[in-house]
Amino acid sequence: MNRPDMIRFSTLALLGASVLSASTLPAYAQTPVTQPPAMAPTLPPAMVQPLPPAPLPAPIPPLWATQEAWANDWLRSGAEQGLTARRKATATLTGDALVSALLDRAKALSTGRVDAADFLEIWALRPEPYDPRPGLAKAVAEDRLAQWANALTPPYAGYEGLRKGLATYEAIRDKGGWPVLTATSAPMVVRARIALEDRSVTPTENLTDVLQRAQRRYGLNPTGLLDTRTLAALNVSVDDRIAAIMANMERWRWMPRRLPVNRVQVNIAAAVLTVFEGDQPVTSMRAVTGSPQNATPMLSSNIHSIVVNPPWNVPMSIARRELFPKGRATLAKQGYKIVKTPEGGERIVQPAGPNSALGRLKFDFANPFAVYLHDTPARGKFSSYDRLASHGCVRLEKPVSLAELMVASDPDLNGQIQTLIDSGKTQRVSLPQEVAVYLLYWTAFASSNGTMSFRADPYGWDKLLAEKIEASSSRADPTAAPAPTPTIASKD
Amino acid sequence: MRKIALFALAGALALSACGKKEEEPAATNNLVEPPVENVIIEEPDAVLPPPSNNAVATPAPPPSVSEQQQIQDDADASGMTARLPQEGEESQPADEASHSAP
Repeated sequence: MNRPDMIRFSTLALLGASVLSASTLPAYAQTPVTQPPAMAPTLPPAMVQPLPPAPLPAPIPPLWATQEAWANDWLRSGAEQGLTARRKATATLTGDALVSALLDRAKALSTGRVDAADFLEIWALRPEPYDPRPGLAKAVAEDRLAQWANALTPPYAGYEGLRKGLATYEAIRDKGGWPVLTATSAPMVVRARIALEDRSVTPTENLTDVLQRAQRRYGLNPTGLLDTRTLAALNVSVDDRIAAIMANMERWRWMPRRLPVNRVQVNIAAAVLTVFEGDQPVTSMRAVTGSPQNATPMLSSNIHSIVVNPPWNVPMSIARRELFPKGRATLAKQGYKIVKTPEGGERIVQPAGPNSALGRLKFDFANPFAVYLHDTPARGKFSSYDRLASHGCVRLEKPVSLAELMVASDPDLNGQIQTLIDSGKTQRVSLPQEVAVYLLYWTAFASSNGTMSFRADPYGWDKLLAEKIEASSSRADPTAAPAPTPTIASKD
Repeated sequence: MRKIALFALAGALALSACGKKEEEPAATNNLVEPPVENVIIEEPDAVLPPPSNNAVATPAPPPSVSEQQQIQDDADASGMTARLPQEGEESQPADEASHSAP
């Protein structure tokens, strides 16, 4: 939307450059002043007119008394939307202070509370700019504040599931939380503890089944044993679970309000990929995502092509850190090739083949991080429950079936992926339609029956997000009285 | 003569019983290392495994999950992006183009 401004700025810069270059060129290269330089950019006078003044903000009509009362009640409901950790005493606002609070709350609910400058570079999935003022002005004028407010939150089942889950876990917290379990805890204690989160647990149910269901909710190996990792997951405090839910609600606010119906979604934290067609999940697979030292970025893009039998052009960061130290002889023995770059340097290429780090298929999409979806020769990791092990790319358990899905609408390509692989030839296959891809980071999510699942926070992004919100969000709940002891969980 | 011999024997026995010294400790040969025996004196009781509330000590077989259920579970984990109908919308629309904020 700012493109015209950018073009004008760029053109002005060009003009400045041309003036500078003309004044600094040697005499023999300069054209007579009476004639404009033949190649200098020339602009019609209209292009350099001053920018129009910024439009005035939409005026917001004065709120009626009933509207003010409703608005104050709504502002106090921040805890229900995960904006505050607990209900807080708030002052009753009127006039400009109330309008300002409504605008801040609307922005917080719509696009989150992290300032644009506070986003990590690899949090590349960012909310669209949003000005709440026109909507509020219209809602006040039409006396439709409730409808306006309901439309502010992300319109997805995932967000709604978290909102309900938040209420559940806050109720657990308010009743005193849950006991700390040990390996010697009695079965009935374990069963009762898990039943706090899983309402399908019955008093007579086999404990192994109860534990397996809990382990699946935590992304653990479902052994049915109360092992160390299961104990650790069960002993995460309810406050930390609430904080995780709130962090995930915040990330939902960064999502676009409408998603393409055909798309690929990856949960980086859970290392799982799901394909949606017509807005419905049609297949899924395990993935291997970036290790904590090589975090996979959150982003959205469009897969435009598939490279069959791809060579791996090793990024210099990986080459310097992991490959060059091995020595040239070892690299050659392992099948790597060292090639000269046009700049006179060297880079490493792993030729296409069964042992290529990219396997037989690479799904290409534009992004500034050089991450992709791809096959891998290292299949063993897919049977593990710790699958955050890549350099940032997303390795796929079933790349061929994913590729087949993506080319199915092209009669020339349908069913041909394996044949193309078997040819051994490196070739790029353009998709009949680009497929949207979303790399997301969910550490808390609700199932369709309302039970919450959690994953570890492998990159520490939940905590970091809470800190960023804490630092920048005093505007999110301006009616709140200061908390007696601010905590990280107090995300307002 | 026999009487004299009996008295002498009784006297000798009485003397030997009253004057018996405490037994000397057995002489040890300090030059010889005692044989090392593979026996642990005062062996502590073996540490018992902590009482477990698991009915079985070995991992249970993985629960049976249908392919469709697994897809749904993975979809939940990937983000339940099924769109909720908004006011004025009849169903879950599928708009490929718009990414606009409200």
